[in-house]
Amino acid sequence: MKRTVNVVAAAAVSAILLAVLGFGYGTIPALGPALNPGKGVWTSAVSGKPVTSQALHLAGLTAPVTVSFTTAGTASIQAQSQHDLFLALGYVHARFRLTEMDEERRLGEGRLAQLAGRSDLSSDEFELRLGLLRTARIEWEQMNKNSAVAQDLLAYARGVNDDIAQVKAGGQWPATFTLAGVYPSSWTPVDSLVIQGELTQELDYTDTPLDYALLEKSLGAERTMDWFPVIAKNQQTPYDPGPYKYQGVTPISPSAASTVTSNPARDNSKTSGSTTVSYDINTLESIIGQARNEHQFPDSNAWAATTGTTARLAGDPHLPQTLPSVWYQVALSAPGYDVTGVSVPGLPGILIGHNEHIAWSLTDAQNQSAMFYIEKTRGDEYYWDGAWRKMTVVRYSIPVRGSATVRLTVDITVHGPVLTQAGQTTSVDWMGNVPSPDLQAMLGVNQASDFQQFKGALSHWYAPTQNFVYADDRGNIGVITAGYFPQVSSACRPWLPMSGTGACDVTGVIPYGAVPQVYDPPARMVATANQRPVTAAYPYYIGTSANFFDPGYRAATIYQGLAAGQSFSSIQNSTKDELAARIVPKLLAALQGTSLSSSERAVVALLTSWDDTMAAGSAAASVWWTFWTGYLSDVFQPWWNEFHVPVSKDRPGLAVDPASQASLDEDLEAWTLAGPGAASSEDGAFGAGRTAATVMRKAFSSAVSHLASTLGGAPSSWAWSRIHTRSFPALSGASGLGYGPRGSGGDAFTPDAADGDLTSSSGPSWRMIATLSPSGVTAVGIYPGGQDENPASPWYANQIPLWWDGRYLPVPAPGSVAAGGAEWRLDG
Amino acid sequence: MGELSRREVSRLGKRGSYRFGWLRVEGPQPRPLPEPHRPTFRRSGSRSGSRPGSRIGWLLWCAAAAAALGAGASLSGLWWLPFVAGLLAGFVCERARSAVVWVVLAVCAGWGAALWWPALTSAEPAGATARVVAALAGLPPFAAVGVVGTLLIGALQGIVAVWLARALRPR
Repeated sequence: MKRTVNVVAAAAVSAILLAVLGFGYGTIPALGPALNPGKGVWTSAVSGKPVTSQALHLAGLTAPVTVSFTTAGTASIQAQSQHDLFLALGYVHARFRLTEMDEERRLGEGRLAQLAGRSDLSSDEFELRLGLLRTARIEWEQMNKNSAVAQDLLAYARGVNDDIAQVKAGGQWPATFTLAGVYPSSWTPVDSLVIQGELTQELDYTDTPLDYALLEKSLGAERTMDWFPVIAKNQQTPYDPGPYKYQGVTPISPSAASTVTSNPARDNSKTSGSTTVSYDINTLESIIGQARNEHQFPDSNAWAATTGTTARLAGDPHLPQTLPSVWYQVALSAPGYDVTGVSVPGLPGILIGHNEHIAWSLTDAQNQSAMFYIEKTRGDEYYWDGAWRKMTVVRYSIPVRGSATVRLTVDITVHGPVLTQAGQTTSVDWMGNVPSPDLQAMLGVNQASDFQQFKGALSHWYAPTQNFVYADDRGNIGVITAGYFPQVSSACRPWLPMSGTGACDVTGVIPYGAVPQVYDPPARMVATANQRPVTAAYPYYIGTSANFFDPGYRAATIYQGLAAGQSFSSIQNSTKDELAARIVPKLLAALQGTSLSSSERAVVALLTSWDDTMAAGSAAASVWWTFWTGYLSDVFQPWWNEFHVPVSKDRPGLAVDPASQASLDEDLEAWTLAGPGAASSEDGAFGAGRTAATVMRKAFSSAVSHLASTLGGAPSSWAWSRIHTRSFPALSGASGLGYGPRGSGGDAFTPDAADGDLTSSSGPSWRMIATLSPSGVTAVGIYPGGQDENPASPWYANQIPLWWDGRYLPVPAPGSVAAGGAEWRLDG
Repeated sequence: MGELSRREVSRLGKRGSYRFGWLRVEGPQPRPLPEPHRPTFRRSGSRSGSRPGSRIGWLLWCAAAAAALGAGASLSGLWWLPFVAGLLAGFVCERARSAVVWVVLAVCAGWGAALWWPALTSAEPAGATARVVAALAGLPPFAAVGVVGTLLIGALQGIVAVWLARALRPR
């Protein structure tokens, strides 16, 4: 009997062990084949080897292609046709970023849970509701398949699939796939368009109107509009100072309506129905913050200046800083197409860079692109334009790793997808759901040689709305904010959820001729740093101060640097905090004549001699940020507490925080600079019996006490880098594969921005400086990461030290062969 | 049956009564002749000292198994070979402990060589890859963790297989 039990137990354990190792269980992968030392995850070491020169066969090439690499990993591709160029680019992208590309398309297509399990199910559900996949499919369906952009997308997909086929044949998958036991499917043009949609979502989608509604419900309408106004209270420097002319509105592209074919087409004349609406807070709270991929920080810089016929352009888009980076640097050359800069893995073309004649960079426009609607419903119908209408229903199946497939039903109204039907039915009309020929526009920009062509190419760029900064080799500079600025009736309040019955529908967008833009401004310099691009005189609604328009401190620092003749690199790496420059004198004045402790006197001495830079070693920087955080909190937090602002529902959008509540920074700056009694709102905000000076003194004292208790020692030892760090997390989420946290300078208001909390993981994702003159165009650039996503590769994070020290590498000219590195010869 | 024989029967089943089926008779035994002294450097308690050559054979078998395991994993992706090796060891080896040691050594040597070989011959970054494997698995991001984790998967198969073989083995 005992022996029988032993046999049965041993057999059962053996069977279970082999089954789990062979097939996995739940989210546990099949560790047997995955960790097999000869064929499993270990084969990914092959792609971690340094790249060497070799000849490769790529199916689909019509002529030989050369890919050369600098020693830092930057690729230069030379082809004899545009088809071969984009095929080779697809191959190179996949060779170095296949995991990133697959994860990004999974994010947009609602397929993350298939890879990672239930933890990503909510993201998949949200993305499928929002509709990146629907939009991408429509874009591809509408595209003329004989057009250049369609052919480029097909060639690019062919190149990606060539790499997938090679990897599959050799069994040398990137580690993530082998460990998960889930492998990438073939790449299609729709996948590229989904990635385009994801970028749009990251730069353009916010649920700020839902936050606004929660603030209004708790703080009251008057206080909310006062503290989060349409026009910011502080002094700013818009790049387009006017004059402006109202030119009516332009209809949204007719193709937009076909995102949902069975719904009524957008009709800009529809303004019937009531503009009033009441909203259910519980409903809004349930859908707020659903998007994992949502626009968060408004911190990109781009500027241009000119002297004579020499123009210079600088650009540093600020995005989540991940390993691998969102960027892949490459120079592309084919007859009629010569361009260099940074590309996005998954997309053909160069997003930021230069060609033989022009250079360009982007910053986010920060305008409101998502309008939320409370729908009036009856069963599966909604009321719009005087009649009950059937919602369009789309059904999805979401495969979930280790669990059963989940079914999702998405209802769609004329406005867009319904985000929830629990409580009030709420839908969103987001400009990112408008099919937008961005790739066509971008490829046009890549080939433009003057501002007219540049501007013409961008006329079909609908979303995300971006400030495109321009410079050319004849000394011209300019900016145009391309993309849709949706407009609604002036009787409506678009910064809040609106009535879905028709009266507050989007009536059109700002005509392309009236969007913010400048060309060769008299000052011969122009800068965008996500500040509101126009003055209060601009005759269109583009968003409120709460809609992420930057408070303008970086723009001010850039303009000051340009006026002072500073080098572009020193401006790009500047850690000057303009808000500190404005407020610290007021703080020191408030402290004059008051009784101070010895520590406080030492801190006053530090602040008095401080140059307002958030340098890593600056003790005054630590004091300033701690003070401002406390000052902001001392003024606003009592109101938040009294009126029970539901911060926990969306901390980034609702908490009193200097890095994420630009409106409150602007308010407090304006009230502090205005002086006692200068603004009626000051007394109201500071509370009875309190003034800016009294609250500043209290915040200063608290800051000194806090730093003394946390850092200890003399105030001069309170270096900013002791409390402020940057980190570059791995995209995979594996903690050991990131970089940092490492003590760092900068803050959310400095050109060298460090966004987020005291540990920042968002900031300059690419720094480029281009010099353009009749004798040619040259550029330098750097990004915090490396070209290869394989952490075992020497090109995984090799550029971070350079980026950290504010250094640059030459940007290879298009058509040049990188010296000193490996070279691939590709043929069909 | 005499008195002595009945006493022997009554001892049946008692601990220490029998060794390898040999019936030991109680009572005064004839004294064995003293063995001649054979000088040796081997420790007196060494088991193999009395059976010269068996350890080398054991090691040779172990090396052969390691080579088979390594080659099987590298060339054919036979990740379950350690289980087969464990079964064989469990059946063949006289003692369970010896079988376990044998299979664990064979797996570590075979799979370890398979891990190391590409680094030696092709300069593949095996250490960095081991670190990546550990990190992606949510373990501390050290190369040793990745390697040990992999070897554990093989060793675990072998040990469980030895158990199964011992349970099935006729007695």
